[in-house]
Amino acid sequence: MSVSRGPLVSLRDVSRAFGDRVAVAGVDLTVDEGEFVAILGPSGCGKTTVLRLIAGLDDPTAGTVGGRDLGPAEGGVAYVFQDPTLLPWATVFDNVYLPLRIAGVPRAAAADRVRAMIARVGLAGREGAWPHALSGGMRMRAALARALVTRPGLLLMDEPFAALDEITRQQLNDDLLRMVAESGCTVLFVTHSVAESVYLATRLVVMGGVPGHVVGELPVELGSVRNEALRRDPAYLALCMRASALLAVGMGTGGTL
Amino acid sequence: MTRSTTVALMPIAVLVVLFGGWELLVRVMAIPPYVLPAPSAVLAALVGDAGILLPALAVTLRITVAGFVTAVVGGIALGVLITRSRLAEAAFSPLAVILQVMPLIAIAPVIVIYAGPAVTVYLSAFIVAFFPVLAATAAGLKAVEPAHRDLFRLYRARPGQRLGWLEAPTAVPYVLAGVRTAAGLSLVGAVVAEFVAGTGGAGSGLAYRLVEASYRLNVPRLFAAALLICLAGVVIHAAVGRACAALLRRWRPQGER
Ligand SMILES: Nc1ncnc2c1ncn2[C@@H]1O[C@H](COP(=O)(O)OP(=O)(O)OP(=O)(O)O)[C@@H](O)[C@H]1O
Ligand SMILES: [Mg+2]
Repeated sequence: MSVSRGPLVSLRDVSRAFGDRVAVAGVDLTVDEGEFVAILGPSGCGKTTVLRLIAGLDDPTAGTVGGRDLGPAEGGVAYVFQDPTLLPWATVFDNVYLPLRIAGVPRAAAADRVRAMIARVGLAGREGAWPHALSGGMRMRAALARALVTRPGLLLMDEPFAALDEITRQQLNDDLLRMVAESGCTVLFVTHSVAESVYLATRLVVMGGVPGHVVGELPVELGSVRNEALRRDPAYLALCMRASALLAVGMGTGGTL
Repeated sequence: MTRSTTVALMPIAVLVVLFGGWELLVRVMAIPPYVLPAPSAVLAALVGDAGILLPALAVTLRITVAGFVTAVVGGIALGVLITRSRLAEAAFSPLAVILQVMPLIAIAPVIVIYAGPAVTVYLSAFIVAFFPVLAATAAGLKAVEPAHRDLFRLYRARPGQRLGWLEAPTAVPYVLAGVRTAAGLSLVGAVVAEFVAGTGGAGSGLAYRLVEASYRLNVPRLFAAALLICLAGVVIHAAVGRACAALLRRWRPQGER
């Protein structure tokens, strides 16, 4: 991580209110290059709100959203939404090509890259398929390919695999870790799941409360090898318990740390 | 007999019973043709007066198609225009509403004073077909899913890209629905205007021939003309409906949204 260039994302005392309903208040969050940060928190605590603020899809009512201006294309910000949000009138290829198309890359010049990315998410041969003809897991894979095709510097993911079954979800998590390691991009990953967050992240940020704010952070020092064996590692289990305790604080149901 | 063939034969059966009963009624009660002509007499008039009715049908259809096609092009164009800016919407919406709510039968006599009969018939076909296309286009262009809008914002798509790759594809099913409505209406518009503005001679339309037959108490020909108008309407409706369905399938192969 390059200190000279400062953090990739930096939220300072950020609040966002919708009318008189305050979704998040006083959020401080810094993400450095190369991190895999998981945001963990109960439903409605403002995780999506924070992600949208970082993506520039929304503006704070108070505080500053800073960091590096990454731009949309190469090395920029990519966002995997809670739903796959594929364009239903476009094939898998055209959906994955979309960010490059918007960036002005001609179809012929992008074709190899788009195909390679589709293959990397495990959809080789399905380039011509329409979104409605894909399973939920395959749609999410296509959405992931679309997010990664620009080789983003920052990947924002909002509970991307929450709607999938456990096995598919685990496969996608492993594929995600592999691709993130290959591309070296920084990830901010929102989830409800303690196990998932500890399995994936290098740092946890736990949110909670009404209005939502950051209730605690937890570095995940488990090294870079994340596989099935990790799930029985005492260090992993200990981290899960500490994360659960933090989450209980966030939900206002549990004691103190 | 399968269910689908039963469904297909049902309308034919109803028509056979209806017209058979009508024929029987006229014959049994010996109703004179100037009161109620039997279907056979109507058919005879259709064949016997084909030299008058078919050229009139051609005139009416030509004007209907011209009104319909220009209404589709104009409706889509203005629909795109008024959704580009609030100012354009404010400028054109009242005009569009006035056009829509004005009873055609009331303005046709006014138009005919300035524009002459042929143009009046054309304008009527245009006006009634124009509004459904305009309204459907405007609604369709605004029906973009928020998540898709976010996607295009994230990648900083230019307005033209958003229109071409997001708003227009979203609007296609809406526009096609508007076009289907417009097709049937344009014939109605032309026929109504011919009642008010129709002229005799070579350029006279089918509805004018119908009015003429009614003045002359040539009731079989009146029925034959009405039948031709109905048939023309059914054919237009079916042809445009099929064309729209085919376009929709090509646009979105899963059919409905
Ligand atoms: N556009 C909006 N208008 C009004 N209120 C909103 C809007 N977006 C979010 N909120 C409110 O802000 C709060 C936080 O919402 P947010 O979607 O960020 O939660 P979340 O943590 O992502 O929840 P989940 O885990 O269920 O996705 C909620 O109380 C929600 O009702
Ligand atoms: Mg959310």
